[in-house]
Amino acid sequence: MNRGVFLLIILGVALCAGAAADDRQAHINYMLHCQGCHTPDGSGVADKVPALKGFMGNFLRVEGGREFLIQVPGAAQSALSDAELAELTNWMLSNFSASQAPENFQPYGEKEVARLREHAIIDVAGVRAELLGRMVLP
Amino acid sequence: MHKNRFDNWFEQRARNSARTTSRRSLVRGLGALVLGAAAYPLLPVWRSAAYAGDSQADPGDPQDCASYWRYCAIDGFLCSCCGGSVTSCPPGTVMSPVTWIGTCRNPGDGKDYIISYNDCCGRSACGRCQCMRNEGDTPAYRPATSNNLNWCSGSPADVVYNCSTAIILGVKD
Repeated sequence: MNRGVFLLIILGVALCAGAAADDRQAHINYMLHCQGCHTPDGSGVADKVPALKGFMGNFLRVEGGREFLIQVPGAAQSALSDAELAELTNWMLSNFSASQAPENFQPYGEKEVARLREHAIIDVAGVRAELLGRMVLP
Repeated sequence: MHKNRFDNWFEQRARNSARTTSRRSLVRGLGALVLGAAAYPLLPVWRSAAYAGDSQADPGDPQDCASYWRYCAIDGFLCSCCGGSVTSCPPGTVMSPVTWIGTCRNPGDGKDYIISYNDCCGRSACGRCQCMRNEGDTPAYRPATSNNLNWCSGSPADVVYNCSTAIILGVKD
């Protein structure tokens, strides 16, 4: 094995370890801030708590949905920092709803989350219903 | 073939054993060993290490609000005083899938654990061992981390609150 390949492998392992640490932090934040209602696997409670699992990625397919996932009160008003909320939302999308999210999905970043959080949704249920109405579900 | 004392000794033991024991005695002995090993944990001897509440890893009495570390953020009646346990509901009640989640430091190992205080629902309030320690509880305008809600109202069981459990979800770094 030449040295270049060896260094690449080491770098790859280090990057994976870093990603795993982020995943773990995101999962801890999910447990502390979301799981109480959305349940451990994100499936929610029928007619009471919306399911993240197998669904939340659909919001990214309609205009305004990307904003909604951050501005929905449970997310926007949580005690998480902007960076943590970005990381957690990306984690939820890849863990619970990867097949619904569009293929060209760009992960949320701290600045985008900060900008979106400044605008509160007043009529949450109305905005949500309107977004759901525009979704084309299989 | 030349035999030394060592060989003689082993030969004699082997012949002796063949003469005095039956082939089935091996089966008998193994059977006794297997059954004995299975029955040993059932014997009524003092096995404090098997009782989680008494061991160093999980210190405190689960029926005591003040001493049991997992109750640091609880608000309600202890299921362990109400016919259930720290992790299970009393008979006739249903555990709510939606729940208040907090963290408590375990004095046994100094780590912070994520604890889920699932309510048990469906029968009227237990009334025993009321415990309100409320660490990390937030006001009701942060409902996701407020323990002063009736979490049974999100339960398919019923809105009637009976008691609360304290289940470990994981370690918080």
